[in-house]
Amino acid sequence: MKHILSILTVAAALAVSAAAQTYSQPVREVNSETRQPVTGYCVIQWTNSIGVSSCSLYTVPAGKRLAVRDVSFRCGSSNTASVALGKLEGNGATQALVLLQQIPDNSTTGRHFAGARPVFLHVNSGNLLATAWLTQDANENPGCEVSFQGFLVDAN
Amino acid sequence: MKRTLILLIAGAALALSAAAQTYSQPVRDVDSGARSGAYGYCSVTLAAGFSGSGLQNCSLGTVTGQNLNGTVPDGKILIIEEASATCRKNSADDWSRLIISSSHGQRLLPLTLQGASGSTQAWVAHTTGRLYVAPTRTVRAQLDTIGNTQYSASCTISYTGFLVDAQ
Repeated sequence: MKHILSILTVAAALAVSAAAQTYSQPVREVNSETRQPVTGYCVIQWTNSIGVSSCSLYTVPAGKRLAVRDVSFRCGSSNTASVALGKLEGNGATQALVLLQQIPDNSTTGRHFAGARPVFLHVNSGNLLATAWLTQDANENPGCEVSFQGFLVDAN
Repeated sequence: MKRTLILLIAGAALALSAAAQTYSQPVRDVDSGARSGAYGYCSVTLAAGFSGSGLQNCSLGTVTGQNLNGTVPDGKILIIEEASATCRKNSADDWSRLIISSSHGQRLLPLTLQGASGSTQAWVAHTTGRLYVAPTRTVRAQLDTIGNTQYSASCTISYTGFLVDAQ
């Protein structure tokens, strides 16, 4: 009888232990930012032209939604050309990109600018994430390169 | 002895049950910003000779393509995480400030010169940081120059964020 009581106590302790873990169970956030990471990169090159040019960064797969969280960019131009305005575009939403820092170099004929920043932009399934840049007075061949990082979540 | 065995099996079953639950509860955060994205625009244009504040209500739409006609739905809260702007003006005029505002305050968009074509300057601005918008309220943009403008000036402001349930 004493032996049975001991076993009953152990069983009860196990049951209590299981119940006590109700609020300490680890859960999986299936849409966690780290579970479906995405990155993309594209380059725009103007050839003796002015105006807006764009390149495609990523097409969102069916059934998914893209969350863009970071973008970095770099543009180069001759001393006379001016790469003026950049945008990140997706699913109707846009965010302007600011070329803040001129990269020091020894070139006497060219200039390079760069920028990087957090982004909070979302693109629905089947839609394209792209970047578009405007150059003015382009007498030579300015260009820009853009890369982004983000993650996918389920659309539903 | 038989009873003892039954009790032992029951105890082991309980322990196994607890262990099996460790990785069996996948969840989705229904209020996640990645799931309920929203965005909007507004354009403010100041005519030549204008003095004062140019004000404009912004649009509001969702990542799923729903047009909310510029107003946060009843029962929802809009959380703006990021805003940016592209602006143009003549070099003869000077900016004073560009602001995006809501029912819960405002954020200044610091303008930076990006380039010029003749006397027309292109400016951009960007800010991250939260701005909350209450249910049934709107987002507005405000543009000011120093003194009367000699030429027309304009800004297009875009913002992105997400909607959550108010309760």
